[in-house]
This record gives sequence, structure tokens and C-alpha cells, in this order.
Amino acid sequence: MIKCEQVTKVYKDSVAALQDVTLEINKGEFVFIVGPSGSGKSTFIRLMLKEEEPTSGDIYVAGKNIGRLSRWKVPELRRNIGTVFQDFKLLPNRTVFQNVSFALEVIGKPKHIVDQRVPEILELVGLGEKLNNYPDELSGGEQQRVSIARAFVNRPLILLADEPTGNLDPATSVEIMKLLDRINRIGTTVIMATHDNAIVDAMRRRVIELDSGKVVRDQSRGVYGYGT
Amino acid sequence: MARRVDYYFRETISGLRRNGLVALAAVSTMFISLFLLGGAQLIGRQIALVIDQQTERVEVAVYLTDNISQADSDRILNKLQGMPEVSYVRYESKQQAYKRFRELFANQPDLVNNVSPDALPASFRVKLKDPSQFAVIDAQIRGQPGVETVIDQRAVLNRLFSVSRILKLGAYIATAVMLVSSIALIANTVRMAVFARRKEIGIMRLVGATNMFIRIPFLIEGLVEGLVGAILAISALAVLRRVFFNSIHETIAFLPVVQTQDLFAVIPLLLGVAVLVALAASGLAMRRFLEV
Repeated sequence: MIKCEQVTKVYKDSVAALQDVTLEINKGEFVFIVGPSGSGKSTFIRLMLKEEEPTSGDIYVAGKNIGRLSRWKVPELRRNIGTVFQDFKLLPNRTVFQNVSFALEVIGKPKHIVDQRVPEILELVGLGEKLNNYPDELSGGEQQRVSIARAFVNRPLILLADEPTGNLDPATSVEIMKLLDRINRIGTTVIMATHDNAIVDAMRRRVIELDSGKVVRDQSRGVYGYGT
Repeated sequence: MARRVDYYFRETISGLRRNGLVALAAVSTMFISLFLLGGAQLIGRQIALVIDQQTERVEVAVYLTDNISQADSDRILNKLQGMPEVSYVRYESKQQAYKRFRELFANQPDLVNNVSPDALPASFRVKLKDPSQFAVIDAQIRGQPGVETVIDQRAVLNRLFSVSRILKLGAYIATAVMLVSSIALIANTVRMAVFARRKEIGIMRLVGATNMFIRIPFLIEGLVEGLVGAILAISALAVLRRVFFNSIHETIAFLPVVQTQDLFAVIPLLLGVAVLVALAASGLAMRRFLEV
């Protein structure tokens, strides 16, 4: 599903954010990318979305070399990748329903599909009762659910989550992880960057550890750190 | 598709509402520049009409002194008719001159009543084969006994020509300046709209909205501003044409006046300029602020 071949990303006048990263993630996998702040987790996610270009190396998403993708095909790539962030990135002046439907409207989905899928997905994330609430009326966990619903409503092949539990308390984080696990079991490849060791240890999924831009560990059914 | 149209419409309306004052400034500069441009075009058409009409009639007038003898008069007539440059010569008596004067200024009875039939000189009206040959006639006739003066009507037309040229040039320069400022102002409203919606735009990109889809509402916003300015300018020109040109028509009845169809002929130009300016401005704003 995702293949990186000797990917290096160097920002201007700075040390390498990613160095010679080679890895492969298969369809349907659930992968944690762990490592301290500045280890290159966010850069990895930005490269997947083609928000940035690698300095060298190739990235394949769903069999396509995204370095060779022309600019006008980038939207198509992003439609195949749902993205969830630590800060939710919800639109404050739109309701839960509108925040999710927005993602479908702006890629030109017809109204009947929007009206069918949005309540469906909100039901899936457990917000079927809060369609008409505004984001500031929701708890952090609920807001993150809306953002997951928005990322998943177009049924992407891949879900990228950048510190999705970073702003949430442990109990709420567990709920969010259950949701991501459910999405993964439907067949979606989930890649989650985090430094929440409790969650990583509890899930026992594949762990890729980055340190100073290098892959220092790639372990199936792993835990957050050595010796824990 | 209906959903998209609905979306674009809502986005445009809310964009215009959000930047009301700046949008107003953009619309007014657009209005002023197109008004000037259209005005220059109409003035140009008006002058062309006058010139066309007058070129047909342009003559050399040989004004005779009041006390000219019949012999002198015959001699001048013969001399004029003998010249190869002359197409034909027509005598206009004092009475005929007075009659023509009264017709020309029929709308101004005060002026007509103040002039006695005797006050206007008799003249030979000379039509030239080539109007530019005036100097030849002038050299041979001026100063002859019984000749008061020789007038080339073409000179009056030439003055009219140069006045109109300066007027039009001035209007075009002002138009160019105003168009540049309308580009800047429309670009500014579009830029502000982009800024106000930067969060939405970020999410649109993330979920894979195409550039086209993201940009169309801003393009429409620029276009609406340009077109509103154009429609205002066209309406103002229509009013101006009625008031100003009709008043000319009343005072100088013989002058041809630009018609409504002349205004219609200018409309495509104004709309075209409005669309081009709006597209250029929106494009400019988005090129700088909407990179993927």
C-alpha cells in the first residue's frame, strides 16, 4: 500500500528530517510511528500527502510513485488518504453534520450521497445524536470523532493520524483507539504517529521507531520502547 | 451539479458580505474606469458623426463686401469657375444667408431676432474637387476688389478634430490609471476572501478538493464585482447620453447626435474589459495566496 525507498528529506540549512528511510506498509496494516518530537514523524505524514517533496528517494502510494504525480492529480491522491490531526481542525462555524458533509461537497459528491453517508458515518463514530451541535459544544474526544468521521467519510484506503490522542485524557484516548481499530478492521490501512507509550503498548501492533530521521526499529506486535 | 452551483452562489454572497467596504471600493473604481472608457468611446463616435456630416458639406466661403459692384461680382464668379480645382460655385445672397442662419438657430429665437437680414454678408460658396487645395484659391481670390475675406471651413473641422483627439487621449489615460487601481482593489478583496477562508481552504486541500473547485468561488467574486461596476457604468452612460446629447440636439438642431445603438455598440467593449480585469485581478490574488 505504501512503500518508501531511501527517502531523505532535508529542510533548508538544517539537519535531515528523514534520512534514508526505506519501509513498506501493506494493505490493512495498523502501524504506529513513534519517536520523540522532531524525529521526523510529521515530515513522514506530509510526504505521504505530497504536501512536500522528498529531497531524494521514492514514495509509492497504492502502487503509484507519487513523486511522478502531476500537480493536478494530487487531489486524487488525497482523496485516497484520510487525515486526522491532534488539533482536530474542525470548522467552528459549521455543525457536526456540516463539518463532515463539507469534505464530500468539496470533492463534488452529489447531495443524495452526502445525505446518506454523513449520518451513517456519524452513527459509526458514535455521534448520531449530535448532528446539529457545533464543535465548541462537544468534548475533545467527541471533536476528534468528528474529525475521524470527516477523514473516513469518503472511504479512503489509508488513514493517517498525527498524534490523534495528543490532546485527550487517557480514558478518551482509549475510546479513540477503539474507533481507529474498528476502522482498521474494515480494511483501512491506519498509520498513526504518536508518542503515547501506553496506547502503543496496549495495542501490540507494528511499531516503526524514528530517531533523528532514521528508522531505528521496525517491529511487528511491538511496544513503545525497548525493555518495557 | 446543482449542488455545486448552490455552493458557489453561497460562497460568493458570503464573500461579498464579509468584505463589503473593500468590495464597494473595487466596484466603484471599476465603475469610474468603465464610465470614462465608455464616455471616451461615445465622444469619439459623436465627433466622427459631426465630421462625416460636415466633410460632405465643407466649402470655401468667399465673403463679399456689402458695396461690391455687379462687375466685380461677375469677374470673381468667372475667375472661380475658371479654376481647375473648383468643382462648382454657388452664390448666396444676403437674404439666402439670413434664411439659412434662421434655420440653423431656429431654437434660439433671441439670437435670430437680434440679427437683421442686412447684417450677414453675401458670399460665393465654392466646393473644391480636393478640399486640401484651399491655399490655391485663397492666393488668387483674397484681396481682389469686392472680396471681404476667404474662409476655409476645413480649418474649423481640424480644430474640432484636435480637440476630440485630446479629449479622447485624456479619457484613455484616466481609464488606464483607473483600471490599474481596479485590478489592485479587486485583487485585494479576493485576497481578503482567501484569507478569511484559509481554514476551509486548508481542509479542502486535505480532503482532495481540486484547485479549480477551490478557486471558482473567488473567481466568481471578482467577476461579480467587475460586472456590477460595468452595469453601473453602462446605466450612467445611458443617462448621460440622454441628458447631455439631447441638450446639444436642442441648441444646435442640425448636428447629428449619437443614438442608443451607439451606446449598444460600446457595451460589449465595456463588459469585455470588466471580465478581463476581474479575471486578471482574481488570478493575480490567487496565484500569490493559493498555492498548493
